[in-house]
Amino acid sequence: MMDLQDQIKKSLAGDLESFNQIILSFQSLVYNQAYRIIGEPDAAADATQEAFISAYKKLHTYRGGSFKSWLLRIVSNACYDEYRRRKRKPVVPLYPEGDDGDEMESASWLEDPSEKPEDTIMRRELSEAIQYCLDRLEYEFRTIVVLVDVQGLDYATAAEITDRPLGTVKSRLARARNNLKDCLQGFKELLPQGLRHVGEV
Amino acid sequence: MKISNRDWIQLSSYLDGELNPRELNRIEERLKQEPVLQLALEEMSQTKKILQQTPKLKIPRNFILTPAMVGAKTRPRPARGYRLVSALMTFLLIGVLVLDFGRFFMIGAMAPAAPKEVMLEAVSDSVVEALEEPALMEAEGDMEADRAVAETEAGAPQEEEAPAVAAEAVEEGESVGFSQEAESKSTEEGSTDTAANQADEWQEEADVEELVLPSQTFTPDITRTPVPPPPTMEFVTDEEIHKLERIPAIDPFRVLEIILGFGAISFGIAAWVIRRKRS
Repeated sequence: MMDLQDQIKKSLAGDLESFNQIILSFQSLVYNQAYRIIGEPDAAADATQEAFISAYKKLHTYRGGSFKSWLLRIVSNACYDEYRRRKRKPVVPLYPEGDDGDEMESASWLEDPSEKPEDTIMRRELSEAIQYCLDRLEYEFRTIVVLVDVQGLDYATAAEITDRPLGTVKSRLARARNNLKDCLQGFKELLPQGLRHVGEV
Repeated sequence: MKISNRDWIQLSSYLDGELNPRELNRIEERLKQEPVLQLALEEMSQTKKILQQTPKLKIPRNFILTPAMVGAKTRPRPARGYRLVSALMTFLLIGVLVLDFGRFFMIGAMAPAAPKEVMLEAVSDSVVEALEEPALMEAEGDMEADRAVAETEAGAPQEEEAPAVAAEAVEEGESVGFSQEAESKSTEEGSTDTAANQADEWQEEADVEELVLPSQTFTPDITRTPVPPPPTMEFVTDEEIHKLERIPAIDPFRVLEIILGFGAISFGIAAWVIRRKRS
């Protein structure tokens, strides 16, 4: 199996198949990032697709280093474009239909069928609670907290991706965490054991 | 005890190991002494842990690319050309404005420093004439008035001989037609002895000649020698003056500024409209 650098070289030479291999490796990360920032499955899918197309076209601008960071920067830009577009022209999301023909009102069609039903429910509800709180943050605060806490990036990388100074990243992250703490307090029963006394200060 | 924003930032950075050694020592000291700060750190840590446990969503589909997707434009930037032209025209407008103001200030700065000769040369002959003519005419008018007064005074003792002539001269202030009018008046009065009258007139004129006012000392013999007719002046009618005023002075800078300003605004609006339509 080719490593990432070989795939990038071949992609730069015009080999679309090699780039598609890269997409298969990163699409989950990219889609999750987009979904947590935008908060809508369709919009997140659109942004993800746009991000990969843009990444393929701008691959020559990749100068080594962390490919994940480079890709997340493109995703952040695509999300911002999508976010602005949807803000200007809000759309009603179309949810897929279930077996009974009714619309499924959550992201449950993304569930793993091998998972236990109660675990599935817990996971879904936690996901929705987190997303609910994230959606209440301002766009830039949300982006930073997703990059640092959800994606696990350091401050310097987050600053590079968002194109903001390190101090701004620090202050926005602190405020975002503080706001999230207050919001998550309302979903105590959904939180894993041991994390339920959040937001008592 | 309320925790300040700065403390929240310090705690957040401490949680992620992003503090420098000095800050690290300081916050650790405070954490030992301040239980509220410790509790806040604990809560922030739990929030971070919850976020780290955010469930990963399954992707709804594969995002692999096809040649058509890569070849086709994803989302063309609307009205890029219009925006570019608008921006270009705006920059050009700024440049022209700077040049225009620069020119204005240059002229303003040079004016006082220019030598007197240059200043005078700069003024056209017509302007000089226009400035001088009213003064000359005024001076001429004064002279005529003085002359008339003198004639009146001179004619006072001889009022019996030609009172009408002197009075008319004072009223009209015209020395030029004095002799002619006096002559005509005398004829009208029906004088029978024209020769004697003529002699009286000549005597009267001689008396007037002797009595000269100080203001008239520089004047030539105006009574005897026929005064040349005043130079013919080309009068410009009001209509012509207004016509001249109506012709605008076309400044190329101004025209350029108007064109560029109008263009920049028009293209900007067009770009905005196209963008709104496409989005």
